[in-house]
Amino acid sequence: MTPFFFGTADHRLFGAYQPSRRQTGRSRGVVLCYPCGHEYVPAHRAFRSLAGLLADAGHDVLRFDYHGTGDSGGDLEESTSPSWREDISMAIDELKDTAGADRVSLCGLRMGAAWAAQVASERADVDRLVAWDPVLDGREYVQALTRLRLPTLVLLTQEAEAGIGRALVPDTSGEGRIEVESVRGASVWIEGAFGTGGLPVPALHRIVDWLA
Amino acid sequence: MSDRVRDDVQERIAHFGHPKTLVGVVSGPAAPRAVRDPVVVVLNVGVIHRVGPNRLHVQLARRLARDGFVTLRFDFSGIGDSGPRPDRVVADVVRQDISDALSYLEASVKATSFVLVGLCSGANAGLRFARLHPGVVGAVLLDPYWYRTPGFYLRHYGRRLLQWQGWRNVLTGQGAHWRMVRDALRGDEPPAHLEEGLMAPPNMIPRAEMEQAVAELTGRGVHLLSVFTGGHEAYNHKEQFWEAFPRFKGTPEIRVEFLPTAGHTFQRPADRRAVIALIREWLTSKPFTRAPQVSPATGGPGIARLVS
Repeated sequence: MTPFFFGTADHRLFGAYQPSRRQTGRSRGVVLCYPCGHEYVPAHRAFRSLAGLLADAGHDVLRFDYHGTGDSGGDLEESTSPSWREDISMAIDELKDTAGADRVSLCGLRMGAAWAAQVASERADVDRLVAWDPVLDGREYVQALTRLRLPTLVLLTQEAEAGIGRALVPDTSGEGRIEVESVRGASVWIEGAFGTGGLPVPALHRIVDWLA
Repeated sequence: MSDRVRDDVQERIAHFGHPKTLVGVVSGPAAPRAVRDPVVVVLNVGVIHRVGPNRLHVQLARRLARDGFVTLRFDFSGIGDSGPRPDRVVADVVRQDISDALSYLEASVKATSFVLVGLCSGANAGLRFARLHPGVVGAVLLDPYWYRTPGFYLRHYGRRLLQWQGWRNVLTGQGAHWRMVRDALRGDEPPAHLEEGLMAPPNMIPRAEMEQAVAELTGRGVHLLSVFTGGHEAYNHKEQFWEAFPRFKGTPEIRVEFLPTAGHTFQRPADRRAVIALIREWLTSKPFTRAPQVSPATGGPGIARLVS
């Protein structure tokens, strides 16, 4: 794993690049998109583990901190939802450049999933999306999902949210574009569960399998 | 290569340890000539990675960089972005990690004196390490483990006597104390958290060890800034530090502050600003004795010479 700064002089982002640990003959990139706010810190460990598992499965992985969060430059007060979507785009470009990939997949947790969905709908070089416990808080997110023309996995780890997710995600099963799945295990973004030492192994492996 | 995160602050990734499994970020002033002594090292809080709760460590490091201080925030082995130690037989991993961090700073910025900053378990780790390394000239202990005194109990229960909710619980049979009574009557085992005092919490520093550490460090001229928040479960008055250890009252190396409105993880921006201001003021006002050795060949301990 190589930590580094990337971006422009006025907009530095912290990234952790995990190159593939398996020769697959072609580069398959995955950008991991953190949740925001208080969900970011508890999710860090699971994201690091996921990056390692994806690298074992043959992916080149970049996880990064949005501007104004984590080790990236700037203050939270300067950042907005559109600027974080731009950060995801910047990370995609960085990963393509670093790994030599033509296309990448996105995996976002909570609001990271919502932003990733929006970015995916605006770019032609995103081939797959994992929306992990996405924030299902409105029309904009759902519209972004319906605009997608790529295979999407909506992964839910809480039963209560699973019900909400199934109600809100448009039924496109006929086209086979969006799969909604529930898996057992901890919700990594919940602060109360943080520090107990557990990892949501079924969720991590489901993401790796689905992206294989 | 270092990176400018503000006009006046530069940061660089630090990879160190043997082998280089530890990861951190070094912050410093953009102008190398402005570097001041000592170098600050910020330690992990529990399993939270180096950015700290509510990004406290990042904000502290960047503010100190603007004042001219070099700061390293890094992850202990197995936490955050740091890998596990290959030499798993090391009994005290945290001690070895901090030692590696200081060695890295000695080599990369020619640092000779250090201030350790830690919150909660990080404070305990800093205090314990400070005893072992002569280069440590100061420690900032944010909500370190502390000791309930008779004064603590008087204040705690005195306040509860004045609260209607406490009386309502007594009268209606609600609350933790009634539950303990009911459990005892049923013969149930009390929950682990109610056995406090009988069992040592994981972060506990025995009182004798704390007293010995404070005596040893202040005797060596090490400055201690202890900041307690209103979120500390065992501290409820500024004077409680001295209540626990009256022998240290008047010791010039010890400064104690109490921020009653702040939470344990400094959730509110105003509380983060307050504690950062305290640390800045303390760092710039204390006569830390060990100055860094400036190499004439390179001109000074500038951030630009950091190796990654």
